[in-house]
Amino acid sequence: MNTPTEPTQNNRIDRSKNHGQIQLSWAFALALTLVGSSALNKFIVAENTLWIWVVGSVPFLISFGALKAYLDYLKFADELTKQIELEALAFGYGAGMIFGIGYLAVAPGITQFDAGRWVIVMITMVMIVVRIVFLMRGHRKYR
Amino acid sequence: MKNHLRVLRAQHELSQATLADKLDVSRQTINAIETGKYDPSLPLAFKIARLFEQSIEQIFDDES
Repeated sequence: MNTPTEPTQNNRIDRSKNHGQIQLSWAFALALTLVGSSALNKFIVAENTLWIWVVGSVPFLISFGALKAYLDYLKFADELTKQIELEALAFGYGAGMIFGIGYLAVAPGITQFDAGRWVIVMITMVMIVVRIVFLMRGHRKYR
Repeated sequence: MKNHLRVLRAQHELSQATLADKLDVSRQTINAIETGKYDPSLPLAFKIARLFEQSIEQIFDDES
């Protein structure tokens, strides 16, 4: 039996796990700052001040780090993990789109122009929840 | 796509984890290939073939 020509020792898998943990930490930080900055802006920071923008921009800036961490995780993930992630992202995005279009089609008196921020929040939630469901399904399927 | 990976692995007395280490993939990937739930990429198929000193066609069967 041949030994592989490349140095392996599962370096990729170890790095993938490390990047997975880093990515989770960024996602957690993003969720915390999103909730934290919303609460600060709602209850503490006075309206029409510079602080409302400063506080509000923190999760926005952290989201770049979270995105970079996720891309690094995908870069080092093995091919089956990439496939599971891709399927989950596709189903999440598709479900969000279908929900958004369907909601606007059936909700009485709402058009694309006056749908309001709650529709965006709901679409985002549908995307996140469906992605998580399909990630779990993928990992079960290929276990 | 059917394959003989499980048989080859058993012949060489390798666990799924050991084979995964050698191929630089997760154990989950090896299991998914063996059960036919996942078809490996061409680079991974070459790696497997090289490791067991066989051709890809000897290991993977796309006609069954």
